[in-house]
Amino acid sequence: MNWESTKQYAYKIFSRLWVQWVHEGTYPAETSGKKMLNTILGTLISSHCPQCMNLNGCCFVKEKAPSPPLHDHCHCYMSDISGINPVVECPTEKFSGYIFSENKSGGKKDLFESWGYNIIDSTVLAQEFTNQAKLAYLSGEYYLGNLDQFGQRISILITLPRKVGTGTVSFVSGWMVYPNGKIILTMPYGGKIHETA
Amino acid sequence: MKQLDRVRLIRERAAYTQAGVKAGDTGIVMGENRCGYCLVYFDGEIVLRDGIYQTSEIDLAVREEDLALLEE
Ligand SMILES: [Zn+2]
Repeated sequence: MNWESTKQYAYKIFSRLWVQWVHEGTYPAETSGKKMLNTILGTLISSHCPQCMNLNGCCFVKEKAPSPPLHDHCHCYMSDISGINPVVECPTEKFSGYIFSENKSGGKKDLFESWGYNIIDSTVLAQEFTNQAKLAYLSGEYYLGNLDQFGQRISILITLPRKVGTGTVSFVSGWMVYPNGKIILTMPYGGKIHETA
Repeated sequence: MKQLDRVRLIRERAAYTQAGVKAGDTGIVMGENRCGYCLVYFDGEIVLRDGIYQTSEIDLAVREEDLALLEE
């Protein structure tokens, strides 16, 4: 990263206003198990919808956040917070078992290979995605994606140097938002940019 | 269904239609099973727009009973 983009990221990190979704009466779901429990509770107790319960504790920059109320009698609200300490999970299997799979990812394997990346780069790619996603989320450089029973997805632009030829290549990756600044990779390359840039 | 299973949608619901998917559409499970729902990315095309690689895939929470496992 050059000096100019470092300055831009630093400015964004310090100028963003952050909010956290609050669903009173339930605790944030930091783990998949707790998230499943919230989904079950949300299904059993009609006054608590799974979307609201799964959003509980999730953090967003103010201008790129889902907006309560999500439904009639939704008592969720956004609480201002000072910022986040991002935690990023990026499973290597999403590269070795998907992107570079012979029969699962459509033309994505060919695309990555045309850029010079192969299955042996899976671990390196997972680390690079982690680094870029951490900086992007921390500086609010994401696009708000779909929200459903699984919670809120965001899209993050990833840029890689071409190992074949020169220059770089940029593409969209998909992430699930979890409470307290955590995001987990759902899709290494896929989806489109939504309107929240 | 588990992560990275290839699947086909076998039932239509209003939420699926609204998202743009219909019975017969195929995709891949990219989110862990949660209370009977899977996170499925339905197949799309690779698109290069404004210098950024995107796809027309649709990501959607789908009830597990609405999915059939595809043979690999
Ligand atoms: Zn609510």
